[in-house]
Amino acid sequence: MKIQPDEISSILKTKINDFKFEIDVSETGKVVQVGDGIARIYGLDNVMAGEMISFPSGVIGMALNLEEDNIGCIIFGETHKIQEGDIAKRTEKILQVPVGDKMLGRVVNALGHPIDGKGDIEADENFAVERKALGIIQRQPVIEPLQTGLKSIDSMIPIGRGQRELIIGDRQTGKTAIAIDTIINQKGSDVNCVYVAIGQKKSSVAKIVKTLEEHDAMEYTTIVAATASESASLQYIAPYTGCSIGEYFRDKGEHSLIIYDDLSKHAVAYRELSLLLRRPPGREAYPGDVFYLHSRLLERASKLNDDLGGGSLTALPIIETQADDITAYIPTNVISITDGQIYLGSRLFNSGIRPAINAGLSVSRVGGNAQIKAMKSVVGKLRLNLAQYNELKAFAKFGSDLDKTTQDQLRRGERLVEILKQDQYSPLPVAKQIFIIFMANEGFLDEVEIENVLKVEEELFNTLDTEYKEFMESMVKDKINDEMKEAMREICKKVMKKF
Amino acid sequence: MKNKLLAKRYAKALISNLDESEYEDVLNDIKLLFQIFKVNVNLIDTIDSTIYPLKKRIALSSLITENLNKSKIWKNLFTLLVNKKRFFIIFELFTEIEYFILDEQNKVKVNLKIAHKQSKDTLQEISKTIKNIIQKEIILNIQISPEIIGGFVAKTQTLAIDGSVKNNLVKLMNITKI
Ligand SMILES: Nc1ncnc2c1ncn2[C@@H]1O[C@H](COP(=O)(O)OP(=O)(O)OP(=O)(O)O)[C@@H](O)[C@H]1O
Ligand SMILES: [Mg+2]
Repeated sequence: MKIQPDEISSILKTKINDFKFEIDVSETGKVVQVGDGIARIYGLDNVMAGEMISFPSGVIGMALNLEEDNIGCIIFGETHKIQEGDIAKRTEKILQVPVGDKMLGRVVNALGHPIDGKGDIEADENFAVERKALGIIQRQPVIEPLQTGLKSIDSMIPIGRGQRELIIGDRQTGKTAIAIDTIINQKGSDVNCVYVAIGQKKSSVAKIVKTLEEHDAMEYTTIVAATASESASLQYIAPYTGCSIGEYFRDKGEHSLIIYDDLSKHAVAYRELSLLLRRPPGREAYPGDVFYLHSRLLERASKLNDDLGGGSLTALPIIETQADDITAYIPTNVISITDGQIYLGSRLFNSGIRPAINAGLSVSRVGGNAQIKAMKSVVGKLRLNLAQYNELKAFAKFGSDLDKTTQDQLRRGERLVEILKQDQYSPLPVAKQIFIIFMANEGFLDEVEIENVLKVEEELFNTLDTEYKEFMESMVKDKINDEMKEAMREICKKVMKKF
Repeated sequence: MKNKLLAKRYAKALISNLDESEYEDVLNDIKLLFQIFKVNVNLIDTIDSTIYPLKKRIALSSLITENLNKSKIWKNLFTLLVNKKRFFIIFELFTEIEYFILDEQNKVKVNLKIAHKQSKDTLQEISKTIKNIIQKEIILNIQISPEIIGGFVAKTQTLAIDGSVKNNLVKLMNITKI
């Protein structure tokens, strides 16, 4: 778009005509001390907790500590531009971020400003960063499924819209991969996504953006990035910003999904701020309110009741553990806040079972209600079978003479583990998931060599795609009845003939 | 700036021990003390210096307070400050005490900047405007500073009122950016 010169001058004219000479009145204080992203300000007696404070160089801050004769304020931006003795002004505004449909497809920083070089964002509205979680009356239990496209999750640890499901595991165990696959799987559905990157490398974030673009997933996704090079205050505020962006869709009656990657780094950033603000340290030097830090964030995920439009915000927080220790402070906190956890094991990951989901330790406390009926009717004893297999596997190492039932169980277990493996960036529609799980549960794969299981799966999906499109669509509509099961068996037999 | 925080605490303590009727006396004392310390620049350093024995320094500080209206209060305050090695905050302390007392009396000191000398009427007009905003009686301290171009800038401890031409020009510049 090109603007004509006379257009510019007319715009300028109206702007100048509308300009009024004004007297600005603002409450002021003086910076007593500044450094490490923190400023102490003397004065500003009437400031509110969480209020934005402006400094002469254009930098803004947020009042966190209100003490008897000074306030502690975190600074968003370059600390070195603020000097001792500077005048700090009240803005009488709580920190706000732009929200709206135009945020989709964009990469923004923790304050909601675009950092992808695609120009300004015309926001529909501004939301406060710290919004109160909704009350009990406004909510309803989760009823709709949020499909991740991952066989092991959608079958055994189903997630409902409005749920908070923790993804927990050591470093490099595929935590981010699960989150990204879930975003990619929302393509074509009515779910908008927000991915909040906290304390990650810039290169990792760039890679994620690229991946999402390649899978056409950026169209319905906003990325909020507070990378490792940014100040602790920005890392601290980023998840709340992302949450407000997601809540906009929820409040409109739409559905959204938010991923916090990861809350361990968020807690560390908050610990840094708290220590600098001289708040007393507690366990692992985290401040006393570190639980509240995450609980108030995750409580904002919710499923609204029908009067409010029935929108939902699903949260998938990620926590990184050290040496599989889920009993550390932050992991236990977040486990207790969320409605279940997906536990990723580094041993599983290294032995080639990817996604490395530990079915025994993973649970979804509320998602079962939301799982689609068709899936429910085939999953049956999948979890139990897997658990039994894992137990027997340990025994089988010692003994050589195993009875037939045990051998069968082992055989079945091995196949189940094999079909639950799934490559990155290849989320599956739920009908295919149902089919392959059905096939394994019914024992069709028991005679197939382990190496060939994936080939059978491939063949099955090919057959389904080419010959049974309609059948697949009808499959997921309701419970799978005996008649349908019979039809599915026929298809399985047909596929097996080729091997 | 740290001195200011310290001074505020001492000032609060002092005020809570004063009766309303004593305010005027204290204010007058402060004026006098200000002068004494301004003229004798080395006095504060001497009183704070650990080279001299504590007793002598306390005696010296007490000497200053002898002829004041509220000499007992000042003597006690100074002794406390010397003991705590905090005498260096004395100027800030005076400012804070003054501020608190004026605040109690619903008055406030205002530093007013104007670009150039103004007639009495204009000044009256300006002080009326400020008074309306602050809702307190004001004590003006006028300063001429041409860099604000025109209008005025008024500052108290906690409030900034900017009605200068400079500020408005900056704003105009910002809105005409496309
Ligand atoms: N299902 C999968 N199949 C094959 N490779 C995978 C799978 N999931 C993850 N990976 C690979 O494992 C590696 C680690 O994955 P990812 O970055 O998701 O882990 P992470 O737990 O988020 O790591 P970090 O601790 O660095 O955040 C990546 O190289 C990724 O490509
Ligand atoms: Mg990761």
